[in-house]
Amino acid sequence: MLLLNVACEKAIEYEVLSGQLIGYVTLFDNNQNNLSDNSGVEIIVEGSNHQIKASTDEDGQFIVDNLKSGIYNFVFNKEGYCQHKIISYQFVGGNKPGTIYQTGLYSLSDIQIDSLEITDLERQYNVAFMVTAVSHQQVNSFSYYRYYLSNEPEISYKNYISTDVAYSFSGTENISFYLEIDTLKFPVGSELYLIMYPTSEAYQFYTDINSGKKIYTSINIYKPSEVANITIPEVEAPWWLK
Amino acid sequence: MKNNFTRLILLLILFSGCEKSELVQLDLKGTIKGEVYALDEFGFQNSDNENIVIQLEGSEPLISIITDSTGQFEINDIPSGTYNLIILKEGYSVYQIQGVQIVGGNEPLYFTGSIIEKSSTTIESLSIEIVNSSELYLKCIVNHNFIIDQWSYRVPAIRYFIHNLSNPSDINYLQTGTVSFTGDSGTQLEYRIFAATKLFPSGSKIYIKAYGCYGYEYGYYDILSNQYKYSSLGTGSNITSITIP
Amino acid sequence: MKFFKILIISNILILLLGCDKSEENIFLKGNIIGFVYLVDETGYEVENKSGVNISIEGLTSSAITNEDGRFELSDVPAGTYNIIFNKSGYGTYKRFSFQFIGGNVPAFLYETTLYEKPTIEVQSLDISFTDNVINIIGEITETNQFTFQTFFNDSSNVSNVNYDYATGKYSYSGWAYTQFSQSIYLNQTPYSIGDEVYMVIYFINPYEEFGYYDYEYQTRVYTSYKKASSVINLNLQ
Repeated sequence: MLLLNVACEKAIEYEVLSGQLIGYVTLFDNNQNNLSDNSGVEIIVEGSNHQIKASTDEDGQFIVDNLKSGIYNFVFNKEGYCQHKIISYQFVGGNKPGTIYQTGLYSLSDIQIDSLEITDLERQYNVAFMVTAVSHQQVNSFSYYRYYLSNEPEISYKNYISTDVAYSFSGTENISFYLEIDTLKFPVGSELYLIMYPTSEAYQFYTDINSGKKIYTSINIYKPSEVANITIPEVEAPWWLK
Repeated sequence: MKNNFTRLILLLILFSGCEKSELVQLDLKGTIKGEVYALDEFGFQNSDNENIVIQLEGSEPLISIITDSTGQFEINDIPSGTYNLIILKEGYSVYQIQGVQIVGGNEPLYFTGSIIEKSSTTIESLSIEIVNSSELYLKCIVNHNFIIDQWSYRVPAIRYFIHNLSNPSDINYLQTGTVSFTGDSGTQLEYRIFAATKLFPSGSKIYIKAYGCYGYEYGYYDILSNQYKYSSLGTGSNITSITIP
Repeated sequence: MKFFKILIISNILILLLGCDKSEENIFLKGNIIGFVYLVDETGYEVENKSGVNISIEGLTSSAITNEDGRFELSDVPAGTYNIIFNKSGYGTYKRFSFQFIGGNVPAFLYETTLYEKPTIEVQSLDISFTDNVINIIGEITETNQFTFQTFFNDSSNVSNVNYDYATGKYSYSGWAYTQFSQSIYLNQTPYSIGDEVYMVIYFINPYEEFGYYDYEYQTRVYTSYKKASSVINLNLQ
């Protein structure tokens, strides 16, 4: 009986502070306009012992009730939109609701990049390339592309060294941009890899806590370009460094 | 029989005692050290920093404290939780920071805030007219008691709120904007405004109310309504309405 | 029968004593992850970001960054903490009042950047006071760019965190500097002729723009502060 008593104590459950969390999601179409109906976004809350889900109403509002004190990741999904995450959100709980303020979810761009090429501009003192991508679709407005650079062929929006955005004017098939390379990051003689994704003109991201890389969440991860590569050419040191 | 029965009772006593699920609070207390600046209706510091009330809405009993003559305050022993921090002073717009989370522990949280005086501008005869079949002109008379010259940095303005419901206000609106003004008290203002066609399509009726205000954005975010609450608003005007052509 | 009574009493006692947990404090805990970036004195990002020490004031928790600059503090109890980032040659960054609630998902401190302390040295310093102007002329090891700041106090205990008056940051950028100068008007300072005034000069990494605000010393601190001079007793006659 003593043993029973002792063992029984361990079965007591301790409750921590809990409270309400209110958040808002705004949906953006391909032209960066926000929609009037923000419903249907599914939010998965990671970090609890059981699965927590919520969804947005027309105003884009979602509520999680009785959320316990702790640290959570929020994953935002809606079909046709790029997934977004808010990571490591600390929630205390209590009498007043906490909030995650406004989150945007961007429509997946439907532009397909058909080809990608890098050519050396053969500059004397710096490494510079011209990147040309072709998309056979006719677009009626500015279209944006996010490109990633790496020294590994396993390049993607999750695995890269640097990234930036290029854009093209409406109605054109070609997307070209000038790319200057930092030879400290990409040494002479090494191989440079490049990949592009169509994107909205948004800079929203979350950070991967293992790699420290920014994961941008307005790109269409399902429409990557092919991977292009080029060897970093030798350049002369400028006269002031000789 | 008797032995078994008593054994059963004993077992029941044993297990009933241990079924408790206790509410155990995170046993930390927090501190907020801060200062608040009072601003006049033009956004300039006016040194009226004493006796500003700071409250933590959500605390039970309500935690309320006032600033000293330099505008500084310190709140101790705040239980872990989430609060709306409210700053109040007579003659000034209420200012809030909502959803403030307090964990508690050894280090204090540092806070700096400001409150702004309610505008002394009053508005008379607010009306709205259609000009050129598509342009809307907002008209009113502004009454004030300050001197505005081209060298001062005072930016008085009026802020209007538009809704398709008959009771627009600073807490009930779909669209808002400001109109800066210069000129003496009693001047009539006339200003072209644009009603967003997505919100107010052709044929819909819009209602407008306006308030004297500080010319730049100043306010706080309200979580429950997902709206920005503008501060520095004076007494409101009449409500006027028109049907969008 | 007697045994039976003992059994009941002992059981009830155990119940009352054993199941009472209301005095015990239950704390949440968890892990904290972050990244540290290093910038050298010429403004370039340092590739190998290992060796940065992260500690929590008041706790024994500490961690060191790996090559990627990543660190992980484990089993930190819930609370509000000042977190200190330090690497020899780069100085200290202090993050004030970080609130930590603990849980299954780690908290994320994002990025902190430390700037290398300048390696330039002052070789000679000439300080004079004429016509109500404090003139400073110094010779330094050759450099293309540098930033410095001067601090004043009425006690010899003057430093970048203990001062009555400080100049702003002065930056020089160009080509092969071996000298620097600064003129400070006495009426800019809170001092008058005849006062006992001490001063000290510090270098700052020119690429460090913001540093951090230190709430304890109530002043802005740059992580890369390096003393350029010893404490100098000004002769304001």
